[in-house]
Amino acid sequence: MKEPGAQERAARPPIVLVIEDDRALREGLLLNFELHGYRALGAADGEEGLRQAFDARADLIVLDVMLPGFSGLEILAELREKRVDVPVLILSAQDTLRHKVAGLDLGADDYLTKPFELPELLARTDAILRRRRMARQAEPKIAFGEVVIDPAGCQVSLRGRGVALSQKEYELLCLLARAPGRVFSRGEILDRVWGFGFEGTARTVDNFILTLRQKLEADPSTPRHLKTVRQVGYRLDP
Amino acid sequence: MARFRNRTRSLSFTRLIVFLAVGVLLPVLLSSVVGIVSLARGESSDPIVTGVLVLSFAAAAIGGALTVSVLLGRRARLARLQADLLANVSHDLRTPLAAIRMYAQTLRMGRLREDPQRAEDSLEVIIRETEWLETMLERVLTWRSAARDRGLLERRAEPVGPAVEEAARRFERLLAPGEVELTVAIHGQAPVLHDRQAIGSVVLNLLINAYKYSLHEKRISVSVQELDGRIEIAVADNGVGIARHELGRIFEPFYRVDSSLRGRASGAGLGLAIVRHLVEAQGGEVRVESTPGRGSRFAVWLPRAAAGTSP
Repeated sequence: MKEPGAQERAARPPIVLVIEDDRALREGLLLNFELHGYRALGAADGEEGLRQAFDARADLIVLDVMLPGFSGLEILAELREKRVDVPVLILSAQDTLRHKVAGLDLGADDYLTKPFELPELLARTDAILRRRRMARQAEPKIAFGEVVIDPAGCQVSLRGRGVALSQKEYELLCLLARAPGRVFSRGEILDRVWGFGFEGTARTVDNFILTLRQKLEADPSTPRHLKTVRQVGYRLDP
Repeated sequence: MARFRNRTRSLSFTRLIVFLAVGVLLPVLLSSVVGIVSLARGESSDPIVTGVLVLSFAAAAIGGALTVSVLLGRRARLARLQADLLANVSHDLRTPLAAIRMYAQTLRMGRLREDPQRAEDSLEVIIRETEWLETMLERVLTWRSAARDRGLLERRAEPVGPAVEEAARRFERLLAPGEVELTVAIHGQAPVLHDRQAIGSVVLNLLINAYKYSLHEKRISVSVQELDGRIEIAVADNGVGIARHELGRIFEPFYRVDSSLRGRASGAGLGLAIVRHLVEAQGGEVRVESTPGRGSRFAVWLPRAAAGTSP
């Protein structure tokens, strides 16, 4: 694996989620991704795969198509419908043009057929992760009030000084800040930030907003930016 | 011999359609048209007789056309099944092949040079996966020969225990250590008229089926017992089970249960079709009981051989 760029926040290895029902293949893929310097997670069936795809916040999903439970294509469709933009590489025994086109049309980033060449698979996953990193670095900074969000480094600063946010706090802030003025319901925030199958309630969102206000607002009791929209949800005003 | 017979059968099938179309449909249609024209022009000496003839010819034409379309539809269905079989079989073969290639490349790239234990494990996986490949190939070949001929069984009157134990041993060679909790219980040494290889194939297919449709902490048991003068070979699992409305269809070739029970394992859909075929060819029957979410139990019943029976 290429060394992560110096700008990358913390030297967190990329997380790869392998959704594959064949045990030998799944374990072999996990082994090879770990040896390659990724952090690798595995799921053996469609339901588990879908849950992890939403929860694990993977940087890349390697997806089999013929799975017990949900098929790989159903998982992919569900992810894209919920606007989860994690890159997906389909690894399937179905090698016809029709299957490849269907997978890519549904939103896969790449398609490899079984049996595959291991060096090619690793080169392709590297390429996908590299593109994702570059796209992140090219993302412009978002600013409101005295707060600046730098998506390239996943960093937030207030009046030029770094603010420590947890992963979920950061994702929640980014969600609101990328669409300033738009109202998000608590349900939508739960779906987009915490993911499918999360057992939380609307209170979870309220608590995270409270923390964000304490960290970012000049006066947390009368927020200027992180506004509550009564009976609906939250909105970020620039 | 079998191959030759098969070719003549498919040839005559095509010929039949052509013969029906050219030899029957065409003259009948022509006769009907001639009759209608002569009726319309008032040239017929006996319009009633001509009318009856025209109606009969028209009915024959419709019947012929229906027969041809049914035959053509059957041909198309057979072709589609053949294509499905190829696609599914290739999936069954590609998955172990992919694993073998990946582990071999892992070793060749020297990625496990520092880790002899994992290198050893990888070799074990490669060997296990070749067993899967062999089993899947055998399954296709069994299906091909089963679909052509029934009379190839070598039946002997002896206990089925050894055949069942051999199948269980082969099944274990397909598994990683500790992957399945398998129990084998053989009671009843009564002789049964059976082909040892065929019964082995039946049990192995049932075991693989149980394995495929079980998710976590797989527990599979295989047992032999004597009940009411018959021998029962049963394979039970704690898998996803089968919905009631699907119980009648699972033995059809190429049929695979749908995903509603999170059990849509991949595969050619041949295993249970082979089981039923081989069991029925030996005068037995297969039954299945299943509770969705709890597991299934497949039971093969074979008649006990009378003393001194020979095939």
